[in-house]
Amino acid sequence: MDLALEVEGGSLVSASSYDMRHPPENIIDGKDSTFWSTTGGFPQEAIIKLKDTAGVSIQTITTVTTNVRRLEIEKSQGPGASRWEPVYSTVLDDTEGDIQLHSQSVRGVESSHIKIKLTSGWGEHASVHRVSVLGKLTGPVSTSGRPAAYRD
Amino acid sequence: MEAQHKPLLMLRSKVVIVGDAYVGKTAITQMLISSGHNYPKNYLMTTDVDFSVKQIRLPEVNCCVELFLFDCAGQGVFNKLDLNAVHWDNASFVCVVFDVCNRESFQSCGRWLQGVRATRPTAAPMPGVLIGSKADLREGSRAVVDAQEGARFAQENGLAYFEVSAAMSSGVEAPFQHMAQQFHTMYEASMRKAEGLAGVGGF
Repeated sequence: MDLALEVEGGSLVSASSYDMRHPPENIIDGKDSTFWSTTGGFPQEAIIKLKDTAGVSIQTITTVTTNVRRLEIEKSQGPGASRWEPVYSTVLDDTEGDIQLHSQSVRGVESSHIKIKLTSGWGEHASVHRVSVLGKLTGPVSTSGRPAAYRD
Repeated sequence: MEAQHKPLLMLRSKVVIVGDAYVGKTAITQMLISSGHNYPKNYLMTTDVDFSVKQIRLPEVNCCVELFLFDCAGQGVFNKLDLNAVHWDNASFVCVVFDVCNRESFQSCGRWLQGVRATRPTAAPMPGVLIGSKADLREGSRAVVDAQEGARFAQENGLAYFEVSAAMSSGVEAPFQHMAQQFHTMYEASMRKAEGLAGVGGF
């Protein structure tokens, strides 16, 4: 399941820039057609609080962006989200404003928050269309030996 | 009375101001951010970088562009490429300044421009302005670089040309107004482009 998705219980905590026509919440609405626009300057970042459960294990993170050059993903475990650790960073190709689709396997990362950092750009204004955090719930184990709330 | 409140769109843009020492980069910057009240009377060399912010309003499009101005050192001792390049990262605009009374400072413009643009290797060169400073000295015919020469160099290098006099407080806002306008235009253009991509990701 997508742990970042708003309808699943994910929420957007903060973002470094805001245009009411393209608000940061668009990242987690599940649609590729809506996006968060950065209004100029780098770095830019947005923090997503993942679905609140006893335990999750992240499998894959997928980002849909434009004009991003260097992208960094960080995680934080715990309610305060005060300490951040890098998960991965990557340099995306220059697509001259077209969609950049990037997927990274991150086998079993545990986290309550995910931060997407745009460290540099190919153009002045980057956009983030979607951040999808696919993971499994590893919460309380039921008597059948499988996690009670297991859904893939 | 207009009751409806439209939120202001805030855009932010990084501008690096470069050029030889003593051409007046700091004087122009100080006059700009103080709206013409603070002309530095004594010369104080900028040794690293001076950072300041200027908000430029674009009322007709309900937008405000914050220009983050990085006034860089012009003196050779302080502008070794590896030191200055730190300040040039992620710049949106380059602002190259020369002194209209100093041909050498005009000849350095190409080198400054190249240095800043090298930090972002994209197909479209970084936009910006070329400023001929101390334009008030044209009257005493002490100027050695004429306006046509400046305009030609600017055109050949994809810059807009402006002449300013920080001492007379004339023309100081114009180049920055120009960059703010251009930045807003670029923002709208890239938004149109991103909106046009609807559903292309489709994973």
